[in-house]
Amino acid sequence: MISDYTSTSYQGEIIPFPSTGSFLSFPSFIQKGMGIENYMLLLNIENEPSKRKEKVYFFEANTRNLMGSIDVFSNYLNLIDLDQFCFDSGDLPIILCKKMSFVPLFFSTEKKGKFMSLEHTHPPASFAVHGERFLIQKYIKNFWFEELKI
Amino acid sequence: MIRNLNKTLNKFSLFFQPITKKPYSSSSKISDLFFWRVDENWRTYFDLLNIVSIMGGSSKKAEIIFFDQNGFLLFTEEINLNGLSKKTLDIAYLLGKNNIGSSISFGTFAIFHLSTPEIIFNSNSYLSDRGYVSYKYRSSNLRKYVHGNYDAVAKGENSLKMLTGSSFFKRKYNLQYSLERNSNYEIVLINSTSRNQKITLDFSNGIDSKPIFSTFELPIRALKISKLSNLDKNSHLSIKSNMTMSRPIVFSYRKNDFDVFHG
Repeated sequence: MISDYTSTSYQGEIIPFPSTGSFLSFPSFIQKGMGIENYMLLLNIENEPSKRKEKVYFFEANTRNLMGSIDVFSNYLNLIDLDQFCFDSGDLPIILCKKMSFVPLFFSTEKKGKFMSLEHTHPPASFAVHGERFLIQKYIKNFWFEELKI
Repeated sequence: MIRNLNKTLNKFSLFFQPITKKPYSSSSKISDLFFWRVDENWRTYFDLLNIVSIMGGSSKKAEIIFFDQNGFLLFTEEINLNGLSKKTLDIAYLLGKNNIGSSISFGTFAIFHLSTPEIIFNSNSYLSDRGYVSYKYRSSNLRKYVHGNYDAVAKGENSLKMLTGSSFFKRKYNLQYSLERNSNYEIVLINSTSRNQKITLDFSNGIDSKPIFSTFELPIRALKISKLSNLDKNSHLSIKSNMTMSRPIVFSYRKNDFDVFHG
């Protein structure tokens, strides 16, 4: 991503998701301060070349408060303004979607592109090494889908 | 035929030399070796998440262990966690609190969570923190994030074990980024294997031109920052070593700003 002043990048790759996928992310990237804006880019490419609409929910982890929800589309780069959900600087957002998978990218900028930051979160399986990591991922997703009752 | 034999041997070595080795004990916790830098231009931060509670368990503390650039232990500190809230650790503050002066301006740190969720044991797995480091440069208020690079080090009851595998044969890691002419870069490599490594950086800018090599020794847990200034052409970097994975952290500078990423 390039502005007149600077550029920012992340290393990533994507293989098309099955349309049965889901999404859970715990991003810590929201920054506060004068002139700082925070966005999320939800990138979806699916095996099925169609355009589906689903809902993504935004919760605060400690209180389990629902901060908002937004419609997103498959085979699309969904741009979401994160500041609209009014998370505090110590909050841990939980962002989830039961029926669509994404590569979640988080973009912050200060002074309209003078300084920029871009990074992605790992899927929940990254909290574990070796063993049945994807069983762990399924467990974490089920735990939070039940806990947040969506 | 020799080429085929090499390919077969490489496949064989990949099977027996995994990128991440297993820790000694099932209760070990794993962390990346995160790169920190603190001086008049730089501040480093770490977003500590309560990953045990995220996994349905309960945890009130984590431990942070600091090392200098040569891999020597500086200090250990316990950090209180506050439910599921994010805790942004200011590395400069922690260094100052533990009397680490400005003579040491970069190194690594590891984060170990002090309990293990049940699902980790039940899945024959290990808990790992490969979380998010951020850097602030000069006057900017914005922190630039980069995620953990490796499952680098395990902590058992009384010992640390380096987890990145070493290969019988030299391996090449090609940076997935094109280095741009007239730009400045820093390539940060950390040795998270259990032996000293001889590493060669090969900057190549096309078939006609002569590659630029830089070779150095990297002791266990040590790190090296290789500076690259004003390339005359766009270039590619490949890293040759016996590490099963030698993905670097890259700092790229443009005007008064920087970017940080894994390549």
